[in-house]
Amino acid sequence: MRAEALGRMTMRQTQLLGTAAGAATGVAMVPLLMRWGQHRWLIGTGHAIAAVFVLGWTVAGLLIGLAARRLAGDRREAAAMAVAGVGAGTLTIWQLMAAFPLQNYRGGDTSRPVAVGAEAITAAATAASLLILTTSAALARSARRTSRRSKMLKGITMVFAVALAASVPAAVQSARNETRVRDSYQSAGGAVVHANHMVEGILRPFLSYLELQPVGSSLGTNPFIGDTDPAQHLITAEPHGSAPVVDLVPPRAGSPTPDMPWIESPFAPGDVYSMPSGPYGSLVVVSTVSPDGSGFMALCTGGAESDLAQTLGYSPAPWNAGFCDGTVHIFTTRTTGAGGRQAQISVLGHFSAQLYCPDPDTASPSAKASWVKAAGSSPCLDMLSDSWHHVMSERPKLTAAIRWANGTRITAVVLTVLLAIAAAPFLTAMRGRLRMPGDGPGPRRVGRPTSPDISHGWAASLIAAAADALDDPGSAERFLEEWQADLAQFDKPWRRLLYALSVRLLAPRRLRAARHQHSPDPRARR
Amino acid sequence: MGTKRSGPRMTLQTLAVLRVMLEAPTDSHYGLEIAKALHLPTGTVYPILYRLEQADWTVSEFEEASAVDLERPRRRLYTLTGQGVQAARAEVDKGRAAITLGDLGQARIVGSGGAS
Repeated sequence: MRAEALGRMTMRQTQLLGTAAGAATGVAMVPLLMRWGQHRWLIGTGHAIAAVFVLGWTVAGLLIGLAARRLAGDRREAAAMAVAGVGAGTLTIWQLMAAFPLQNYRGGDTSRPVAVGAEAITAAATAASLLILTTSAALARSARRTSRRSKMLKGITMVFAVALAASVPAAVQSARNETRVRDSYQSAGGAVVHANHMVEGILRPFLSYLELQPVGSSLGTNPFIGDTDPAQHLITAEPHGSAPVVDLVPPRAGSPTPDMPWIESPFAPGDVYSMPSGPYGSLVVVSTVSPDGSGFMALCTGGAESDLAQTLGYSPAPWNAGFCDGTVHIFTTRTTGAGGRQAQISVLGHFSAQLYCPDPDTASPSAKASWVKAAGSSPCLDMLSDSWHHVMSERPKLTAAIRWANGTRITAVVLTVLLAIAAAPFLTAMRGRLRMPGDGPGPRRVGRPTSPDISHGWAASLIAAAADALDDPGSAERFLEEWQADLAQFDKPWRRLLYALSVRLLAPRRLRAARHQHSPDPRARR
Repeated sequence: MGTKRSGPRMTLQTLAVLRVMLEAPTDSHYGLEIAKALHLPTGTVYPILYRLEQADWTVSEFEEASAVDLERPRRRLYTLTGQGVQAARAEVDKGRAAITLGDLGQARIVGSGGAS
């Protein structure tokens, strides 16, 4: 009576339990995502995504509860299935987060820490899932019921346990692929870096096509993307080749008087200067020149603009030089992210505060020799063309590598959640047997009370499984009682377990063979 | 009464079980007792006893007393039948002639296949 009442309550609460656990998991995901440095990602659409998480897990919990009621033959199994399913889903979320690491868009190369953290999370989640599944696989062997549903669950668990084990190296390989993608992207590469010297408005569609996502501009229309503090975005700019820059930067205090002599600007739009040294090859592409020729706007690799400015006689310290109409925008791209999937366009320095102006005292025209002006009638366009072709030629390889890396991770995630859900019934079965091995539809308990020793429950489960494995209910009951009687003679846990293991591993097969050999008419008398 | 069944497959382990039971042919034995005496795995002994029972060499039954009276679970007891005693003695004698002590586990004796 009491068992029935408990069973009814558990069944009624199964769906609620699963739903509540799912909703709680979804809510818990939101701060985790936020804490993982994804502030920008959560801005704007982030709230919607958080809502999706909560709703998604609520629905998932409901479905898990429904599935538990359908599949579980035992009430306690149903409840445990719901909990285990939600737990598996949580692990899956972790793996998803690791599979698609969300980058820190706030400038700087944060790919390394993010990548390492993502891999660590993936490894931990995979290991935990594997532990659950191996336990369930072991328990599946000792499951008592011989119904078709029980056998199906056992079979599913065993298959998925193997699949999960196989997914572990796949997850590891995907992590390696991400590194390879990143490296190949960088090497693919030099031209890609060069390509990023171009006007970003041209490059942006290419980056998207490569499944690379440039950082969004805070200014919207500013093609020279900067990922710095929005307060620094004081300047808008026109695309390459269009009208000169409209300088919106106010003059700084202490700037020279407007009648300060200016040196003639050596630049013209489209000029390309390169220097062998430098972090990225020191490439400078002049995009715009100020109306009076005294200043220029250039797209440069890291640090090059200062080198160029200095060697050409321009002072990099705005407060040491005169105010001029031109400004220098600097941006570069980097490969960031664990999968090399994203190009991060960041700004080196405070471009809005760096004004390169002529300094008559430090002008050194001879230093211009260190800079090589690219040949060609339209060097900038030539470079654009060459780089574009190179990028496009590399695109299939990079795209395939990225997709393969993501695909293996997705596979690992899917397998993990399926395996963990399948393991839920057997986790409960283990728990039930440990506490009351003779309870429920299990073997009859006779003789002395159940020992609190945990080995007794395990041993009872093993011999019960051996009886089930006979595939003959008549003889199963007889042998079960016989084995239980012998089991009761053991006092030492290890001897008890040894006995049960011997019975479980050896007896069923041989008894089945003996039964088939002789007439199946047991002569046992009670 | 002659049995329609063929004799049990005669292995060294089966011979050993029969030998133990023949030490007290009229006594009843349970599976664990025999396994302990022979230091054989219980998973091996139970199928042997089952085969012997199928061949009508033994009969088995649970103890008559209740578990409450016994203060322990009822054991399944195996007893050699008359036919079984004769057949067992024949097989054991045959086995003694065919093998030497210490060969247990290294050879398998092909039995006569039928009750003598």
